[in-house]
Amino acid sequence: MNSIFSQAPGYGYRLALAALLSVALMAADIRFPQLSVVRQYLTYATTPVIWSVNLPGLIIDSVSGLLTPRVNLQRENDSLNAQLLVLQRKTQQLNVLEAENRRLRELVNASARVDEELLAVELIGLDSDAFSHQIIINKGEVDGVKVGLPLLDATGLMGQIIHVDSVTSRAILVVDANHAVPVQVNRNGVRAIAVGNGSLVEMELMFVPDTADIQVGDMLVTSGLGGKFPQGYPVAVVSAIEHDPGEHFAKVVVTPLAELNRSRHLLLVINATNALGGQNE
Amino acid sequence: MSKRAFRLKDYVPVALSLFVACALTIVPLPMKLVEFRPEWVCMVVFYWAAFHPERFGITAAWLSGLLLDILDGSLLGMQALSVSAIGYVALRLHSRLAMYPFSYQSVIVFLVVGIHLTAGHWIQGLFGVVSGGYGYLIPALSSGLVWTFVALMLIALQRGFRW
Repeated sequence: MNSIFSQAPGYGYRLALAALLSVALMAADIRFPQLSVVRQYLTYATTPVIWSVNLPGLIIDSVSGLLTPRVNLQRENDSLNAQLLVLQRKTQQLNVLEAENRRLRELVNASARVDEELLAVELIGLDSDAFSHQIIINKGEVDGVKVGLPLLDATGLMGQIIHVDSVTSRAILVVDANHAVPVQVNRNGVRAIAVGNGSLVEMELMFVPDTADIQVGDMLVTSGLGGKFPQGYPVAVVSAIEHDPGEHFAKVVVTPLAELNRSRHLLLVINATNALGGQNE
Repeated sequence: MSKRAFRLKDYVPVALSLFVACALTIVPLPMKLVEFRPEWVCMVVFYWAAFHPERFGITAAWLSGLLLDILDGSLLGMQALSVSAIGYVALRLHSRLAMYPFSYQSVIVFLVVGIHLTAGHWIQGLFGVVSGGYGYLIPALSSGLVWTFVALMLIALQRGFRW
């Protein structure tokens, strides 16, 4: 027998061996977080696959960039300039507000908020499983990505990093059924926990008392409690509230603000600070 | 001569088909189509194990499953377990499957992929929240439907390499 693939009698034994090995691997994967290093090395085997799947998109992007008529580019440029103007106007007063905010925080002896450092990342893959919402991004350990870092897009909170490989990482989206994020109502500070329910377009608030002051249209922002997410990033908007007299809590359905199924360019918060000004682990 | 010498060239079609299957597994699809995505890797494993057991055994099936685990980010060993079970079924049915028409083979593919998905669903359910209902079995149905096409493609690939 000169190869591991050659035919040998006793498939049953081999299957038993494979099953044993699989179960041992699964147990190790759950028990020992150190195994993520092994997984990281194993990912080298799949990187060419991910890369090749991503290649057509890259080619189309670059080719369409080359072939776009001048008129379109000019139009895009104009609209971007207009956007820039609007945003610049908004930031004009930012310095003043920041200074004022700092003074006020000093007055109440609160610790200063640190500016967050952001890393621009690009989505390169979606999870193949239709029932879990995870994405793959194009930055990994070599770029300083760590497990637990919050992920944003231009309009709101996307999720957080759960696996880091050498050049890619995997993030779980806020709408995944296994994900929860502490939020507060922007209007009055009522706190709640937004939990994914498996749908890509809605989440639910857990354990909201029937009397809580939450209205349809309220914006929910991260509360920073729990220390995972920095404070003040928009997460969702309340879309429906249902008071069932037979239930202990109100059913509050919220719509995530991040464009979870459209955004390709995302931001990773590298040195996230939580509500208490502490550094994330 | 029943035993051949190991030649790397012999495994090119296997590696090529697995690569394409992996790529198809993660290629982005519109949201509406995602849940209908067939289990390409399972079908490729089934094909090679069923029709070329001298080149593709349990070990190779296990490694393919592990590849799937890494690709999906699932629990390491979860799909390795069920894919090696698919390999086992295919190896045991080896001498019979070649006589079955494609329609009959499709039914068997539907069954083994269904078992693979169910096993994964159970194991995931042990450690987290999973969807309710039987929606997770849809890929088994679509795998059965595209099996004929996959088998024909793999036969063509193998002819191309003059096996």
